Amino acid sequence: MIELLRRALEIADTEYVDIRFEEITRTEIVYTGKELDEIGVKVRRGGSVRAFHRGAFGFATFTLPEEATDAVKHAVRLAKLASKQGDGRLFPMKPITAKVPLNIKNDPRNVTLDEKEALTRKYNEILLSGGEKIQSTRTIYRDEYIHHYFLSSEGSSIEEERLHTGISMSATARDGTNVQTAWVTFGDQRGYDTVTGHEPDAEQVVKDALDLLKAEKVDAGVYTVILDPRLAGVFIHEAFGHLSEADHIYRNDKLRNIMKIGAQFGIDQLSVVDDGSLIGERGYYAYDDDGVPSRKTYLIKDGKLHSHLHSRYTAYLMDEEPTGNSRALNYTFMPIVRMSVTYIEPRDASFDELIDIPHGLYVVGALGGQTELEMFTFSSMKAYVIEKGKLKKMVRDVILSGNVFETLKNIDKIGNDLQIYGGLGGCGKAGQYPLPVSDGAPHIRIKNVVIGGK
Amino acid sequence: MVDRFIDVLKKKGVNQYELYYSESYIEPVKFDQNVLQSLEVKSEKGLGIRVIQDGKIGFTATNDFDNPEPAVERALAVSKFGKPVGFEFPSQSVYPEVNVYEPTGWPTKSRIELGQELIDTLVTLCKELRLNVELNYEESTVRVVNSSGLDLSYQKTGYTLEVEGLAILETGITWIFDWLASANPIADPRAVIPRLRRQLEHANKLAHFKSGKLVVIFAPPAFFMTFVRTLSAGLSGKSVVRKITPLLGKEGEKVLGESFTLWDDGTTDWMYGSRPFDDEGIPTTKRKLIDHGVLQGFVFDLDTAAKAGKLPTGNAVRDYTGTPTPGFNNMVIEAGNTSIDDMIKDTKRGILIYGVIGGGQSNVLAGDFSVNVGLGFLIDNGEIVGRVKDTMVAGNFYELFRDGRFMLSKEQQVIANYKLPYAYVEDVTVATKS
Repeated sequence: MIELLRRALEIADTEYVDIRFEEITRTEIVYTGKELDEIGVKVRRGGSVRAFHRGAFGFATFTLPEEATDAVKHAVRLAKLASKQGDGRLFPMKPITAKVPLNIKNDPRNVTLDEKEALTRKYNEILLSGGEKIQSTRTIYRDEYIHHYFLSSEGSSIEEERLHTGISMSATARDGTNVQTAWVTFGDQRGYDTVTGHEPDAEQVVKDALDLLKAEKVDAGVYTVILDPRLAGVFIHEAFGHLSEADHIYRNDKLRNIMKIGAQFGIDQLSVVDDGSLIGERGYYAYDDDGVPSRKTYLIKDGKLHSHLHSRYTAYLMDEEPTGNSRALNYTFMPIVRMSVTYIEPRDASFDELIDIPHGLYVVGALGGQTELEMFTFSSMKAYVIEKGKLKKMVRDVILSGNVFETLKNIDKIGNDLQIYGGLGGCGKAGQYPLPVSDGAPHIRIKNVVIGGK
Repeated sequence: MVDRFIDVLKKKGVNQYELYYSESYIEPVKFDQNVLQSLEVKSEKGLGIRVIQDGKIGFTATNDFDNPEPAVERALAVSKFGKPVGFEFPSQSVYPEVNVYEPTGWPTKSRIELGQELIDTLVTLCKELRLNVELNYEESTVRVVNSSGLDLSYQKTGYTLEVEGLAILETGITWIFDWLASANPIADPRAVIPRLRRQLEHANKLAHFKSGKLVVIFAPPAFFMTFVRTLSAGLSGKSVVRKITPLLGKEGEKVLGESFTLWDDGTTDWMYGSRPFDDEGIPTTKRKLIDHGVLQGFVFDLDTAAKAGKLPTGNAVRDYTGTPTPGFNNMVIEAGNTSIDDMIKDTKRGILIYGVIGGGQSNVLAGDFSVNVGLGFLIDNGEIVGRVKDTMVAGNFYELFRDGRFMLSKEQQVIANYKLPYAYVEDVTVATKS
């Protein structure tokens, strides 16, 4: 394979060309309600060529390895056509030759389809055991093996294997027009053990869905909130992480000014990291799709903006170092700047210290989240009212919104219990979804958060 | 290519099978923040295989066309776990004539020029604007072959223009956006300019107001982001089978106000989502799902139709890597009688919303929404006076779109395979920090 792709690169007559080729095998089992909704093993392979010529890219995909040569011609032609208007270069780097084999204990490919189906069914049956109020359930098992090749005209040659395994369980309970959903997901690159032993989690999902039916709607208002690690992780990824992606800011002077290195973004205890080199996590990879090694990058360090996330292209334009964050969803897409494993570093506050407030909300899990650069909106899965330092009644339909910069500054206490979550989902940007990422945080406390409600 | 798979299926004694072959070719021209960033050609072809063995269905997907054996083996291996099916693959029927193929193409050079022209014009209106513009030409082929003797195919083209702009103004970060999409060349791509200008016009001035119950006018993009998932999930045969739609069992009943009529349209020429048959080979139609507020029906594929005891409606949607699911061809909400300008003039106090953040996070099926206003303007005594910030709107779709509470505009906007009017709604809960 590598030889075949290398020969295709030989005809490239421009400053830079790379080829990616991927073989993807995916097993998926979906239970919806009582039914096995989907079970299948799918195979997909193909590649793409990216050419760079005087500031612009040409890109062409292909299906069969033999078609790589034609794709190189296409991509080079398009890059030259586009380059009349382009600017910039690729940040220089030394060629890399590497082979990154899998490193997992219990390979899901050695587990029979029967066993995977039985596991998925077992979790789903727990969800269904919630009784007639449980309107629907959805349990998804998925494993995905990716054999990834990357070659560049600069001489890099990288072969990397990745294997994701995950499960997701959700239950929807209904009482009249009141419909409530609870869910949980686990997924990473540690192998089949990641998806076993989650019976207690399935039980918790059913309980949450049923409890939410009985919960009152939250009163709209401004609250001090404690976010659990899942929601805090989603928050830091969605609300702040995307702003760190250099492709948002490199051609926008005003945004560049807001996202200036050294600018104060929060209390001194606040540090935010993106680290794609954490082996085993959902967002792990050894090399990004520019062929740059993944690494640990502080986005915020001690309250101050520390770095941006880069591809080779954006790094050159902003005169900063590449950070190994140039990623494509798969071979059919051009890589763009993406996060990997993004988390808030833990500090020393215990959970009891965090909730030691007269009145507030403890919000747990995320149903969804969206941002528009400085504005964000998230809905939590469930929440509890805090009165005089104690957790009281459960409330539902808790939607948090606000301005990212103000909210980051309003984080006033950071917990000691960092958790990193992967799962089956991922991050979406520019039509590339779901890209495997992990988010994490300890429990954190934020003042003055606007909560929408009744 | 498909034939080799059929041979293998027959050799293995598979009596019921379906092959879904798709081939797509797309040429995106992409401007990133006002600069031509990349030109691409993307092609993809693949095959989805469904088999029914002993009454159970199995599925696999592949694009390794040289090796049909392992793919067929996989589908068969999976079928032993498969759910029992209550349907048969359809045989030949009568299909509507739908024009969706106009392969004149859209020359790369003219798209580059047009993209640059749009950027130049818009930047003149607002020098802070950074625009991402994508101009696409696409061709696709779909072929459905099954053991009931069906062998159908169609070709389709697509022409799309997407403009997304970001401006950092005194009033904060401003996102504007617009889309055009058609199966034939876009007649007037410059139509995006006046619509985007409208979004920019009052963005430079902040307006303040008190929280309360106000008129809210949802522009088509805001309507799309806030309500389309409620409608598409609520009208899906999947939600019927799972008994989770609030519209369950309400055929013939009034579920929305008199002026609300919604179509699934697969047959109108040149609409982006039109096609002669769905992804299982069932003819598409044009039919009302909600007629003057009265629920007429749902959208079904073979599986959900069989389970619900209905006929399939020509709404199966899939790509080759997945199994079908019921979806819309084109979702069209019929226009009303009032122009958007008159709607604004009729508003004593309200907000006009172009974009929301957080659509679809609440209890979508039940119709609940609670969204942050991304781009919205305060209307005071019939005039737009400025932009609102830190504002949330919340409510329930089924409660708001009742008689006497809402109006739809004459103007409609196409957003991919949706065609939507502006919606004027009274007494919406609007909360603001200011």
